[in-house]
Amino acid sequence: MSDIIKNIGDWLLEPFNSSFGGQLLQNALWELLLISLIGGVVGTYIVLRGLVFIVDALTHAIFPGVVIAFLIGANFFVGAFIAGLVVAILIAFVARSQRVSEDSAIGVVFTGAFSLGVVLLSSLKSYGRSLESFLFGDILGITSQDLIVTAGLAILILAAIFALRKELLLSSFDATIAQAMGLPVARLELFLYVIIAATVVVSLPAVGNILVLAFLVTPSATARLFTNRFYVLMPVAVGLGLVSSLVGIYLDYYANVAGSAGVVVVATAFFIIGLVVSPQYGLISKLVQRRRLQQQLSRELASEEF
Amino acid sequence: MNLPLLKIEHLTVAYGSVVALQDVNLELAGRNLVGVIGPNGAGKSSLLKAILAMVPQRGKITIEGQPINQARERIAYVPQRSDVRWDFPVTVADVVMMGRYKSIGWVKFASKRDHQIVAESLEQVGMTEFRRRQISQLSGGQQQRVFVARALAQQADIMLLDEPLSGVDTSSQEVIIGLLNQLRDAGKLIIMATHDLNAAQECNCCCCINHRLVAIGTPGQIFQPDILAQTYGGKLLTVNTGNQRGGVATTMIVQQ
Repeated sequence: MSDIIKNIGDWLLEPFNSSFGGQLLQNALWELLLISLIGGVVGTYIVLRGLVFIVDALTHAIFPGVVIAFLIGANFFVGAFIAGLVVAILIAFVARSQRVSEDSAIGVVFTGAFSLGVVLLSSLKSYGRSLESFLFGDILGITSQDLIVTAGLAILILAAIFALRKELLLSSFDATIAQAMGLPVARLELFLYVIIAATVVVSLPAVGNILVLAFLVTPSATARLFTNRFYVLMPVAVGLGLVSSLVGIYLDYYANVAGSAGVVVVATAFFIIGLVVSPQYGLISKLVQRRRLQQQLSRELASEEF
Repeated sequence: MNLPLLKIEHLTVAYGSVVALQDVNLELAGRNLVGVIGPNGAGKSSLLKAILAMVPQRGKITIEGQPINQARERIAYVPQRSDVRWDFPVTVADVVMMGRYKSIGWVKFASKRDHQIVAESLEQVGMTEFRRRQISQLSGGQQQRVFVARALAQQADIMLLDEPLSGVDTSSQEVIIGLLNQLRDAGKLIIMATHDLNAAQECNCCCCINHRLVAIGTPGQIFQPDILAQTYGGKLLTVNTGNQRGGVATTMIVQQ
């Protein structure tokens, strides 16, 4: 028995102890855990407020900023953040013109910006970094310095959200009452966008432009299937993200799967399982409910015939 | 100190070039249940929102002499039901607790007393047994009772309700009307916008609105064919200066 436990322990620890790449995997794991932590918390607001499409646009639109920063040798975070702000303003401006609906505006701006990034990058004679690493991140390229930046930002984001938790909850649920009570609703919304942008930017090196959305949205969407309480949803989302990251790292090591994509596949699997087994919204419980109703109905019909 | 609890002077509300309310003047004291009646689009909702400074407006509104931004915590508001994100994962008790958020303040947690106020508010609208339900798992009437409870939890002196009885089952209507009467008797000023003239009969004072203040008085004074005709499409303007029952100083009117 103790042999089995020891074997499992060895199996679990092996990826991080191996002399070849052990440190890289450790960094990767910590980075993914941190991203899952902020992603679960921030993602809860994104999912509940229906901002998924806007955030999707934001993540794609940051891409040209990253590429330009790379081309001119500027700081990655600065490029990404400036691009995010420009695109957010563009979307607001185009949508306000009222000739174009907001979702059309988002669709046009974000695919346009994304293509611009690809064009810029492909015009380079030799890519210093491949297109792939921009799009999907480079989870094994995370340095301890990256980790410190992510951890610092995570603490800032979590502290800010903790301080404003009541006001964010009220203005997300019922903006009219929040305004009537004198809360600065517009500023709270801006604060939320800044936090979302910061979360996206800090996640990009590890998970890339395409997959970052999944880290923000999938765990919270899954958690929503299992709880009707806001302050339960958030930790469940974080927990799902953490477990997905852990499983993803083992997939990376033992099955030789691309790390961040592996995490997203695992998280998506949880979501699909949730769709089937959720006690309130799940497929199974819906079928059981329908069966019960049918039986009740046929029993009542049968008793009426007498 | 004999300032009116709510004083509205020369209030005009306009959305762009569309004027919703023109030059409304009104003084209302506590211990009143005021019904704001008028046809659809007459500016009833705009009047309530203007009291909270939530619409483009001109004029002066004071709460015992203070401007709204210094007296916001003295006003509770129950908006029309459509503005809420119904699928949000909050329970009935969570929603009522939101009425306490402003007085709890930034960063801090709810105290024992806040929880007690929430429990009492739920009790008053008869929703205690539903306190753990998610808000969308209630009937329309039950949801409305929860929002009234949230307003109660604010412990305000003035309560504004926008069509609180529309789309609501009869027993919830009775609970809400009974509660509003009770609050009135406790000295509060309740202002209820309603298109339901039966509900307006329950009020001790009625304001007739049709883009301007057409008339104000007791239901007995207001429910006259000529006044209602003016409110719901008449041309002439009547100023009604009737005294309120019980000698309460509901001051009136004014309309040029």
